[in-house]
Amino acid sequence: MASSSSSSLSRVVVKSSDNNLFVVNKKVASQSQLLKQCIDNMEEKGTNDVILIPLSNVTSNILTLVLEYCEKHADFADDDNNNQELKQWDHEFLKKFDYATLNSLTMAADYMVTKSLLNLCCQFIADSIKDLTVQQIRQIFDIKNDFTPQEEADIKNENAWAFR
Amino acid sequence: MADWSELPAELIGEILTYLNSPIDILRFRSICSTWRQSTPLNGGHQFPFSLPFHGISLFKRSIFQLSPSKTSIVEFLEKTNSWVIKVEEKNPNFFNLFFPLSWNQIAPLPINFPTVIDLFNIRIREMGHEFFLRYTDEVYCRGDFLNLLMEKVAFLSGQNGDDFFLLTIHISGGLALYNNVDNQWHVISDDLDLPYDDVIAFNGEFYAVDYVGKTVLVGTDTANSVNLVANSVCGGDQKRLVEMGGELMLVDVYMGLPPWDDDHNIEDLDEYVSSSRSVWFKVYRLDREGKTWVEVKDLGNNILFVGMTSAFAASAVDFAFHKGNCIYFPFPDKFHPSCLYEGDDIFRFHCGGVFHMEDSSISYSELFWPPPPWITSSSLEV
Repeated sequence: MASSSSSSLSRVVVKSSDNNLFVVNKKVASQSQLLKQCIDNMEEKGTNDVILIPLSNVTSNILTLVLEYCEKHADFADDDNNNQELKQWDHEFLKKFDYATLNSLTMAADYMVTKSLLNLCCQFIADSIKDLTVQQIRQIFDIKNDFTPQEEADIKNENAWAFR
Repeated sequence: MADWSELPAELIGEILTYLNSPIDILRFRSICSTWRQSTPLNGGHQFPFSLPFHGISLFKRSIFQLSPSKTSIVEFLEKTNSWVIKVEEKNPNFFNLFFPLSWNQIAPLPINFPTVIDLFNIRIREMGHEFFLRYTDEVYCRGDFLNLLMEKVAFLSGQNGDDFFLLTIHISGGLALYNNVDNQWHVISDDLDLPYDDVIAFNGEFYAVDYVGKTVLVGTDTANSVNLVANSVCGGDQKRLVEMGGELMLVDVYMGLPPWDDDHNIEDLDEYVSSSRSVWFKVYRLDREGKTWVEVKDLGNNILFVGMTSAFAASAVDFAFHKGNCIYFPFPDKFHPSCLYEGDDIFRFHCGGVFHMEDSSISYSELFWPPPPWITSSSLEV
């Protein structure tokens, strides 16, 4: 009796890598191309069952944040006029996190193909790099200087401006 | 778990799309080996760049804000200690120093000036850059000039990696457009009312303004179309286009006499003339719909730098100034009370002035010269 044409899911269940389940409204889930693709596939097959999408690379902490972002952006999906408000929200959203969280969030945005969140993260990272010294960047991002002595010497040269 | 040094190359590529300045790329490549390997060396054009068969070379100079780096606690003090310079790379890693608001080179450098500045130990941010053209020596010998004014040049990258366009002003007052694909200069002088005064590349398009503020969009297609975007404002003596906060702005520079307001009576003329002084500014924002320049009385947190060779904007936050709303400009040395800096000829010729929009007052600035103590006193030798 299954009829493929009328099939439409309103919600999906997303499972984080640490096995927590999140019930997500379709409009919100569609902010992620990965989730949207899963939903579209299932709808094509004509299933009416609630589908479960496991995300093996995303912990529940990070998934909560991605979904918070998707929810906000789904609210504004049909509304261009509120762009300014959304921009402000985006800005405040990222400011809350430490750099370890920002890293996981960036990776999750990439994995879940949430392009606007990925762009936002990359812009934020680029901006924070612009106003810092090499040492400060290594410190903030917790990155070890792992250059070979030869590379180290090259870098020292590249970063020295001689005046005459 | 999260390790920034293991960022996948594709994500590094994404981040790099937001880093436009070569100085940011250099810094990015200096962090760790993964970041270095995933970051291509500065591609694009190396300057100076010779235009084939024209006997002209294209030069680039960049303007930087330098600040000392210690801890974030004294950030405020550090930023107010900023120094703004303009440099041109003569050979890899060898630079000439210029006064940021003119074409004057600062040479010879003072004895206490470090021969090497180590970018590792300072914060450096690109504020803007400018291009200019120079004839090569053979052209002088041949007398084969193209009749370009060449004082101001706008540069645009084309669709394909190596393609670019140049826009400058022809000696007729019209515009001269170059593209490196057909390697031709096209002079656009149709509908020319008054000579053009300034050109800019803004949001991937060329704009030009004439002496009274009439502003056009210059197409880079084969038709070389010129379309009006704003009618004239008349007013002052020099028009400068500048990008501020993502908007195209017009700065009208008055030399000698202040703006003549409409509510002046002719009886006020004596008073008006006696109020004359070196320099005065008006700033306008582009109203595209109305095709007009709309005067802006308050620049908010913005600071404008209006030089003879280029104009650019910055935020007061970057300098930890408690307010913006001002314009930096090259102050003619004849107005400078040189007794203040007796013996410092460089300062006398390269000092900057600040025009405060709030009350139209003018003060002197040491943002460009002398170099702050943290530059001259530090031993930055390699």
